[in-house]
Amino acid sequence: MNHRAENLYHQITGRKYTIVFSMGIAAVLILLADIAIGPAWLSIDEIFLAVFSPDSVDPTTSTIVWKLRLPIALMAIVVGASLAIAGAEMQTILGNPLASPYTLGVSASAGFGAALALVAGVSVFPSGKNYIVPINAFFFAMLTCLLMYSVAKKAKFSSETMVLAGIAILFLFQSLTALLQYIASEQQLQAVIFWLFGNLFRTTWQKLGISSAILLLTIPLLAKDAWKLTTLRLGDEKAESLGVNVERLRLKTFVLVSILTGAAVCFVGTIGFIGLAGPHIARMLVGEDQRFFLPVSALTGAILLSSASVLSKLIVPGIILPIGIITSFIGVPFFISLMFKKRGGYW
Amino acid sequence: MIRMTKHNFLMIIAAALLIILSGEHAAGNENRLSHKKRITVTDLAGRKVSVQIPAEKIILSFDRHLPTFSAIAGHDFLEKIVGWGKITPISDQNIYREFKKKYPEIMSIPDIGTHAKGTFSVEKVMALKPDLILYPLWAVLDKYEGITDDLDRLEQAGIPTVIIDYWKDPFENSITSTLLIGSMLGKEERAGEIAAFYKDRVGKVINRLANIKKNKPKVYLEGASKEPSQYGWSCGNAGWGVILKKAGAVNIAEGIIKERGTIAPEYLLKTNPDIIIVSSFGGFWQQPDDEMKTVLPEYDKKPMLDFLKAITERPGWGHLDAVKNGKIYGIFDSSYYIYNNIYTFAVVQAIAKWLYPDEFKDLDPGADLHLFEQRFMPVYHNDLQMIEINR
Repeated sequence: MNHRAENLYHQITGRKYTIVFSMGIAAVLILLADIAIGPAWLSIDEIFLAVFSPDSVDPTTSTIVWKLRLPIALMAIVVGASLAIAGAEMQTILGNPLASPYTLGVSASAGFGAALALVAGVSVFPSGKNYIVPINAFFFAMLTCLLMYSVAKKAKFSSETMVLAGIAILFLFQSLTALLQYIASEQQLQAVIFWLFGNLFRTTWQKLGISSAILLLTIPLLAKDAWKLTTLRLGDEKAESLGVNVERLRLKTFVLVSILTGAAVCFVGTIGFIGLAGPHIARMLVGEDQRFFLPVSALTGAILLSSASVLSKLIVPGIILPIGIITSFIGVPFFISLMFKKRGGYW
Repeated sequence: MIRMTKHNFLMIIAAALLIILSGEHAAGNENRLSHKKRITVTDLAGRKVSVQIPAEKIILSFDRHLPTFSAIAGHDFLEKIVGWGKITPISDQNIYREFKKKYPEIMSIPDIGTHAKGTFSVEKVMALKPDLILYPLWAVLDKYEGITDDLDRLEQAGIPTVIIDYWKDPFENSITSTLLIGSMLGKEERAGEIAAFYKDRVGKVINRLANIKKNKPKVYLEGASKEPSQYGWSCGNAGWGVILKKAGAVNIAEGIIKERGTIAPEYLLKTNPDIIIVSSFGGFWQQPDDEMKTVLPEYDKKPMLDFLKAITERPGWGHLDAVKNGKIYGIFDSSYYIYNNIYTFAVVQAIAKWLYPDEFKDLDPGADLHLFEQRFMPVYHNDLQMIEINR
């Protein structure tokens, strides 16, 4: 009996390991495609040469690969993973399937911060010339996370209150942004709209470095709590009876997730959907066990945003299409088809 | 009998005079209605619109049509504008400032809002009882929210919308639009003179280009709408795209961008254009260390040159021929006046000169622009800045 159960356990986890592994491979393949595809149609050899010995190719090719394609392609992976992890943990600690950086108003407030810098030239902290917009965005993202957390605490993490408060915040910041757009000159208006669409073209190695560093620091901290986070989904009382300090865990995770979200959205703008869909797709694939849920969420997010990046280059070659517009096109059909397959209710 | 006839004759004359005089008087009372008549015009969207002419109360849906409108309407242009969609004054553009100095009344022209920001008020337009409203084609093509419904509603209320265009095709359409506005205002002659001037100045370029048997230079033209590190928009087969073609350039955005869009940076690097032209309207972004704001092109050229230089620092631009050879040019205007208005002739000349410096040595776009202002404009704004980086 015990032996059989153990076998079954290995069978299930084995299947899950396979999923993690194959998604990892898929993410790498899409990353390669993202680097290989672009309006300049470089050959694979050229790209290979440019990556491994940049001096042997002509300077334009090496610029294209090193300054444009690599940072953007990697940023797609990092931001996709960050947003999906953030969404996953928000859903876990708030016990709410609708929680995501977008639905809780975090993206909208980041957008407001950016618009404030672009239209009014107001920066909340003195900062270097390339960082006024991201720092403002980051600051407002944090502010909203904090606000949402205090609302959640007051409301004892009740699902309805959280969603309503999130939507209220979303509307508040959207109308504040609209107000700024109203007073903006046409030039500023364009810059704000472009920011709000969300795109990866602002990526530099430095920005990529910041986002990656935060992602890489956050993952082990969250992974350390994987078991505790899994128990949260059984309900607070059960988690507490298993010796988890629920309150502390929530606060700690929330802080981590806020920073993660802020670091992702502040450089790329509003990219909705991934933070919501990524974790749900992961949950449908591997369930609630955080040992798998966390990496699969991250990989799903990375794959979604990376494919969106590839697609945005293929739809109209030669022009820039904001990736935020594409993201939902990719995710929604997949998301809905999975939803119908898992009729039994996975949440 | 003869006497009688004479008497009758005088009587008839007197009666006729009386009728004419009283008729005149009545006409005066009826607000000169007898001069008015209805005509059907075809506007620039190909719509048939019935308008009462001469139109005396006009709404400009975008205030940036002020210069063109004032050129066509002449000295009493201000009396004719009963309302407009106010967007320019927000950043107090140079030409607007010039108008304001000479005609402070423009400050009290009622604002009808704008579809560009979702503030257009049909009710306000109706309250102003205009004879017609002028609407630009690009705004209709952009399909701003509610625009078709609003124009339909106005039509039902008997307020005709006439669509004009100085963007989609800045040559044919600009001339047609000018003549159309002229005919509706009863200023056919003046509009005809403007159109002839325009044709003549553009013709200078086109005729000479026909005899130039060189390879056409590849040109990248960017409307810089963001901070210098970010690529702005380019035009395919409209606006700047058409202007570039007329000026004898191969527009690298053509075939990739339909009307307006942003080119992918690596496409530009791969194409390696011979000449890069940066245009900026309504201000441009400046980022001196801790500040981020848009600045307007003033008569001081330094910020514009700084902006051009900042653009050339984008990744990979150092390897572009245009940058290496110092073939970077800028067209700065404090608003969209140059681009969506009657002044395009000067821009075509400037671009042709940059593309073919030897062949167009004698061309002086600035002088032609000045001449145009002297002949047709109520104010001199001297706002258009055509500058070049010299290394």
